[in-house]
Formats: sequence, C-alpha cells, structure tokens
Amino acid sequence: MKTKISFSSTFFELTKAWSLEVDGATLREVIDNLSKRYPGVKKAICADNESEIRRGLIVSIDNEIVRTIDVPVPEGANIDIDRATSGG
Amino acid sequence: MADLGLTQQLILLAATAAVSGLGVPIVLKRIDESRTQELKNREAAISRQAKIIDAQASFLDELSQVLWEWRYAAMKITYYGSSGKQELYEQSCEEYQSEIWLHLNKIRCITSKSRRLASENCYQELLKFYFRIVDLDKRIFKAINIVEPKWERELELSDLNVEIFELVSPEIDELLFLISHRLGLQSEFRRSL
Repeated sequence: MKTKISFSSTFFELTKAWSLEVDGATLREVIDNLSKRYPGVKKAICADNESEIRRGLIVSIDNEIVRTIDVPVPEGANIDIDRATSGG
Repeated sequence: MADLGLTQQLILLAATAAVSGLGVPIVLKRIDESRTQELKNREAAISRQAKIIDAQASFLDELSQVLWEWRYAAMKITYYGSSGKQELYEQSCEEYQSEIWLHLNKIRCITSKSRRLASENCYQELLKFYFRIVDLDKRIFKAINIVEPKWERELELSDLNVEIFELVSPEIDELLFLISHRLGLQSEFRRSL
C-alpha cells in the first residue's frame, strides 16, 4: 500500500528528497519503513516516547493533523511533515 | 442653693466660671489636637499607601517588560534556528548569547523585589518561573550547540519554539494576571466581570 510522504526542508538533509513513496497501513509502519532506508527519521519525527509526534512538527494525513503515529493511513493518502514553528 | 450663704454662692459661681472659662477650653484644645494628630497620621498612612500602590504598579509594568523581552529573544533564536535561514539564525544566536545574562539578571532582580513589594506567595511563584526560564535557556543552549546533524538542531529548536509559543506565553500572561490580582491592581471594570 503506497503512500506519498512530503517533507519540509529540515528533512532534506536526512532523505535527500522532498517527497517519497513508502509502504504502510499505519503511520507507525510508514515511519518504520522509512527508517529502514533513512536511519534517524523516526527520531526526527517522534517524541521521546516514540508514539507521539514531536511538538515542533505538524504531521497531516490527507490534510488531517495527527499527533500520534498509531493511526491508519488510507491507501494512496498524502502525508505532509512540516515544522510547527511560529514567529511573534 | 437657697440654704447656701451669699459667700458660698459667690464661690460656687466663681468656681463654675473658672471651670467653664479655663478648663473647658483646655479640654477642647486637647481634643482638637488629638483629632489633628489623628488626621495627620491618617493622611500620612494614605500617602504611604499611595506610594506603595504606585511602586507596585511600576513593579508590575517592569515585570511584564522583562518577561516579554526574554520571551521574544527566545522566540527569535528558536524561530530562525529552525527555519533554515542560516544568516538570520547566526545573527539571532549572537544576540541571544550576548543578551541572555542581562535578561536573567533583570528577571532575578525583579523576583527579589517581589518579596518586598508583593508577597511571599508572589515571590515563590516568580522564583518557580525564573527556574523554568533557566531550564529553557539550558535547552536552547544545548540545541544551538548541536553542530551536526543540522536537522537535529533545527528540530530541537522547533520543539522549543512551539513550547514557548503555546505554553510559556500563556504562562506569562497567567502569572502577570495572578500577581495583579493579588496586589489588587486590576481595574474596577475588570474586577466586576
């Protein structure tokens, strides 16, 4: 089950790509599969407990923001990973 | 009176005249002096209280100023540090490192002042918040000292940016509100809400 995952510039150093296609029925599976190719990705995305998204990131699946990685990923879904920073 | 002789009556009359003519004014003067002193004491107490209220209002303004100055300095470095804008990040890094001691010094000084101008509770609340700031500062320094990998530094600073924006900013507002409430420095309109 292929999912398209797009990254912010911070991840380019890790993945050398702005977007990738990854297998997985849940976000955890997607991230685990991604980590096999790009070690460090899980640490970059997850908080210390490895089940929540770290505070400084916004992860959305088909434009729905998620805060945990234990969520289903529909077939052909688009996953966006971006920084949650704000000025002001 | 009918039984008294004329001499006795005259003595009594003279005594009454002496008491009302000399004694009463003395007593009235004493009462007047006592009232004047009481009024002076009350005026001095009101004046002293007004000065304390002015000092407390200045203290609250100063506290607000120093906390938000630190908060914006911290936001700036975490924002540019996570944005990948290298030149702006380096600039904000230099600024932060040269200013942070002054920020901490100002916050610690006003924390001490709170014990005198506010209360022991306010002092304890501010002290707790001061240590929260020191902890955040340690984490900022830890993050900016990550040279490689760059992504790790950017994400640590991004986490801190969101924490300061979403958690610390309302904490500052809450702290200022709490202290103004304890000092009774809210407007009548705000208190009636």
